[in-house]
Amino acid sequence: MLDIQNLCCKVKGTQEEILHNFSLKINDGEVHAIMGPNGAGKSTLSKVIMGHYNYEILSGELLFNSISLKDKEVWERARMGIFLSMQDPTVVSGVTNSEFLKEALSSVTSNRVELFSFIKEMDKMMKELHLDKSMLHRSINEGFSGGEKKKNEVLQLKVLKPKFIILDELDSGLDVDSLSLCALNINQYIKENPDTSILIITHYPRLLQYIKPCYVHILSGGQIVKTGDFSLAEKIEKEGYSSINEIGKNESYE
Amino acid sequence: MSLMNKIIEKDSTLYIGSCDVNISIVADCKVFIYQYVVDKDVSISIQLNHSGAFVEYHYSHINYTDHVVRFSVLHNALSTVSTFYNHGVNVYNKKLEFLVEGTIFKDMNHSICNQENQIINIRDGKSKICPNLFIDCYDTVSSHSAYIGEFAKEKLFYLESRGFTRQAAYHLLLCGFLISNKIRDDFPDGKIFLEEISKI
Repeated sequence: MLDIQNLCCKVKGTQEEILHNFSLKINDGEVHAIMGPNGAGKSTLSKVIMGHYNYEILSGELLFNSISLKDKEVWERARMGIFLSMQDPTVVSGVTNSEFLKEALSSVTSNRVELFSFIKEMDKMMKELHLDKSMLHRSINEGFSGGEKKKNEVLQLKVLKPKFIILDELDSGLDVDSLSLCALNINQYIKENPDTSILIITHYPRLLQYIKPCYVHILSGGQIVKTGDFSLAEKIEKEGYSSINEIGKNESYE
Repeated sequence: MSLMNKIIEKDSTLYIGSCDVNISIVADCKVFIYQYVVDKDVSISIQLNHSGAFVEYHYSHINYTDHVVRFSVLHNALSTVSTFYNHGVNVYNKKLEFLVEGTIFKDMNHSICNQENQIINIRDGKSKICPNLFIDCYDTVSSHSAYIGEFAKEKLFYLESRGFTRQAAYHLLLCGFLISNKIRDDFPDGKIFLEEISKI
C-alpha cells in the first residue's frame, strides 16, 4: 500500500532536514503506529504523505500502490484513497458541513451524489458518532469543541471511504468516552473494509489500546529508531523515550 | 445608480442588489439585510432611530474595476445594535476601498456597534479598508476588524485533502465568503451574483 524509501525532507525556505533517510512499508490491511518525542517529525511525516505546501522532498521515494506521490497534487492523493485526519482541523467559515461532505464525496467518487440516500446515510453515521444533526448545517469546524472537530474528521473518513488513513493525534482534545467512540467507529470501518491500512501518530498508548497496531515505531531525529509491537508503546508510557537506547541524549523528551 | 430609501417599523429581512441604500429603523425591531453588489460604487446609510433597533448587515461585493463602498451607521437612540459583515473579492489588479463609519452619539447608552471587514485579493489588487468608530458615549460596546489578503493556504490544503481540486476548493471558499446564507430563489440579483462567482 504505502512504501517510503530513504525519504529526506525539510520545511520550505529552511535548511534543516526534518525527515532523514526515513523508510517505512505499510502493507494492505496493516495498522502501524508512530510515536516519538516532540519535534521528532511525526506530524511532518503525515503532511508530507498528504502533500502539504510547506514541505519539500529532497530525496527518496514515496510510493502509494507502486505509484509515486511526489508529483501528485493534494487532491489527487485524496482521490487515490489517502485520508489525513488532522491534529487541528481547519475552520472554514460560510461552508456548511453538509454542503462540504456532499461535494467532497462527489469529488472523490467522481459521481453525482443522490440527495435522499446521502441524507439517510449521514443520519446513520451521525448517530453512530453521537453527533447532533444540527452540526451538518454549521460551518466546517466553526465553533466546534475539540471533541466535535475530531468526530467530524472521523465522520468525513466514513463518508469518503479511503484506502489509507493517517490519524494525526486523534487522541488530543478527546475525552475518554469520545476517544473510545471514535475508535469504535474506525474499528467498524476496518472490519467493513479489511484492506484499509492505518498509520496512527500519537504520543500515548491509550488510543492503541482501542485500535490495535501490528507494529509500533519510535521516530527520533527524523528516522525510525526502533520497531516493536504494542508492548513497546507500553514501555514508552512507563519509562519514557530515554529508555530507548537509540535516541540521542540531546533530544527533547515527553 | 438607483437608491433604496426605506423606513422600517417591523422585523424584516431584506435582499438587495447593486444600489445605494438609505434605511431608517424607527421601531424596536430586528432587521437583517443581505446585499450583493457586482463592480459598482455603493453608498450605504443606516440610521437606528428608536430604542432597541437592531440591524445585521451582510454586504458582499465582487470587484473588477476601481470602486469605493461607503458604509455609515448612526446610533441615534438608546440600546441600539448594529453589526456589519463587509466582504469583498477584488478579482483583478484594481482598487477596492471600504470606508466604514459607525457613530454612537452622546448618551446613547447600551448601544453596540460592530464591524467585520474583509477583502480577498485574487491577484495583485490594491485594496483598502478604513474603519472608523466615532463613540461619544462610555456605556457602549464597539469593535472592528479588517483583513486584506488571500485565502489562507491551510484552508485550501484542508479542502484539497478531501478531494477538491484547487479550483473547486477556491470556488467553495468564495461561496462561503460571499454568501453568508443561501440566496433566496426569487431574488433575481442573487442569481446574477451566483453566476458572477462562478466566473471568478
